[in-house]
Amino acid sequence: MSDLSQSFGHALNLLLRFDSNLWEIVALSFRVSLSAVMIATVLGLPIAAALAIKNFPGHGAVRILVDTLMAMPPVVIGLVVYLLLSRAGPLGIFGLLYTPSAMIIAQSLLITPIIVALGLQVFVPLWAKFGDQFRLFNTTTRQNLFTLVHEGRHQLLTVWLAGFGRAIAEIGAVMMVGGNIDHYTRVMTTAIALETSKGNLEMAMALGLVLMLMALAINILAHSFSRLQQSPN
Amino acid sequence: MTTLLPLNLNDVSYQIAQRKLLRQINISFEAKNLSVILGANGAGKTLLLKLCCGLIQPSSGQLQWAKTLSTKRGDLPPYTLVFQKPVLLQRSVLANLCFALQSLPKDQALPRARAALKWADIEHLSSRNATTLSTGQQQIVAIARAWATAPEVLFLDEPTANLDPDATERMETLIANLHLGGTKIIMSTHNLGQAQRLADTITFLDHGQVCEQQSASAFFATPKSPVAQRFLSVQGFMP
Amino acid sequence: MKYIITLLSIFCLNATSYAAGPLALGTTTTLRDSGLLEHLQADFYATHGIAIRSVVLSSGQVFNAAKRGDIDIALTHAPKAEQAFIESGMGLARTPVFYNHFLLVGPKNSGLKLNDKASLSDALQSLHEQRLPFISRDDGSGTQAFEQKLLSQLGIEPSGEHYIKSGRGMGPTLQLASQLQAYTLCDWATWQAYQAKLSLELIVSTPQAKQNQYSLVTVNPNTSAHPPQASAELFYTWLTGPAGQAAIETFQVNGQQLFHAGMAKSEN
Repeated sequence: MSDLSQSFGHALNLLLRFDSNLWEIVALSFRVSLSAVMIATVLGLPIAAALAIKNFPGHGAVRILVDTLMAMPPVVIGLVVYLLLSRAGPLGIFGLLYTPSAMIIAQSLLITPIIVALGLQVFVPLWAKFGDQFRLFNTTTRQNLFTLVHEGRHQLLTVWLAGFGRAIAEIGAVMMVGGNIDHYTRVMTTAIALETSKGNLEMAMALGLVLMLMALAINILAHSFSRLQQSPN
Repeated sequence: MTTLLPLNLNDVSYQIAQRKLLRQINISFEAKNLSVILGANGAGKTLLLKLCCGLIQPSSGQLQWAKTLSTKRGDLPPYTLVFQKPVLLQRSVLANLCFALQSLPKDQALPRARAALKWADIEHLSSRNATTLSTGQQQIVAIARAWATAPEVLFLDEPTANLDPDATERMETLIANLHLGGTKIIMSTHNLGQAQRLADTITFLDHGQVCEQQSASAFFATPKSPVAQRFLSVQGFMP
Repeated sequence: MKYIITLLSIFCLNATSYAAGPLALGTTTTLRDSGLLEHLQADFYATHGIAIRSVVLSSGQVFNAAKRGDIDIALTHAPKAEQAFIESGMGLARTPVFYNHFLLVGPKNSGLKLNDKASLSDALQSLHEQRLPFISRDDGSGTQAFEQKLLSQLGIEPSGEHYIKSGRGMGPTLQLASQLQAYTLCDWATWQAYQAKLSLELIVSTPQAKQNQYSLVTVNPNTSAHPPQASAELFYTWLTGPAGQAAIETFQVNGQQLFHAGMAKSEN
């Protein structure tokens, strides 16, 4: 118990002192995971909306594939991205392995299926509600797509947060493709793993608490923003 | 000017998994008069309207407009349907109207949307979030939105089924107004009073079958089919 | 099209590419955990103004990454793997740069009875005869390679419940040993960094044995998937030269010298 309370004190101390090392790590975590969730959103939402709107051959297969990919362990994604980005791999010429870019790519791949699968759960009932009306208005697919996203924006925020949560909490992929390089590719989770392996459990726990506090802050921000939007007029 | 009508249904049937929901429907909707599809709940009125609008396809038989429809994606459609439960977007009333007018240039859409609000006398609701309005207000927004698209034919599915008497009266006035303006109205209802107030012709539907189609005055005086007779007498409308 | 531009711009705004300059050094956990790596990086940067990015892996993984062209130069302590890398033509040169020694650590009040002059080999043999719990790294590391070498010299093929494979780095393996009250092989530097946090003690320590040799291995630019950066050569010259060797000698933790510059004479 005293270990935990000590860690908590340590965490607060680190945060309030604006420890530059810590903030560097926090900033990179956010930069990587926010970029990844943005890419995953731009990629995933149109796919989800298309799956909800259109009934094309192979529709069922795509949905099964998406659900399966959602269960993909981060290390496997990490391994795939590692093999792709390694100098000996097909994308080796870009020299992206062991860079923040590689971590963004890996996390994007990791959370796109989540955005698609959860987005689908938002879009399917919306389309059931609006589909006929849109057909009567004779609006274009593009217009329909944007309208669905707009109508589902509050639920999509939750989807988005789920994706972000998975990205920022993930370690397997970033460790493998980022390499946990000090001052360069070290993020919260890899730093926690490192401190744990060094036996600095207190520091590791403090980092863990920082991660949780950050997640809390993001969620409060997002939900209050959503409430602000939702209130009539 | 009216070139779409008449709308002819030839031997139209609709079934889902062996269940025949509409059988051998042979009717025609002429221009000019206000048509009411009358029938009890579950008679197939909504399906018939959706079929006419092309939202569902007949299992057999044909649906023929006098003119082939050639609306490109994104164009304003020549007909539209007002649902029993208004389907509005989570945005302002004005924006809801503009949404239906996306194919028009911006400088035409906005004035037309405003004109529609004026027509329905709901200018004061213009900036309210449409989904927070009462059902009655929402339904009036829905018909104003339909008016804005200037359809040649307007279908309405039980437009007043969930409304209080005030809103019902306003809706009926607006429907009558549209009719006078030259829009062909085809609406369904189970409310005999409403049918009597509005209809020129009655199509009586029972268990997916058309029992009769005749002028409203004739229908209320001498219904031909036994089901229609019973429907009228149960509700105290038999002479 | 606009869509693709959006995607790319999100990516580019937030990503930094692999700029030429920082040197990718493939190295092992023991050097990071002891703090030597940071010390060397700072010294090298002060002299040459070139940043080093250390990718910390087990020795086995380091050579795999080197083959794939993902690191510029390797600093490891697995002589056999280093030789194999050079013989395969992928590696160019191997220069021993510093060393320390391995120890056997185990529970306090150890049940293992040894005479004062016992070597690591003797201790391992007794351990296996008495079937006392022993943790093997089993992660392709230099430490594991050393353990394998001793065991094969003894003709022991360990198996059974007392032979535990951790599959992890030196630090976590020490912690595991502490929790399970088991024995394990460890290098001198990591032991210095960790011993205060462990309920383990030294069982056998023979500094004169100097078994743990670290070497710098350069990558052959002609066979690698990606030729190493020019700064790799600079680092090689620096670490094998007087300045780098002095940096190793002067590195201390809690007043203890952890590594000795140069080549251990006992290396075979």
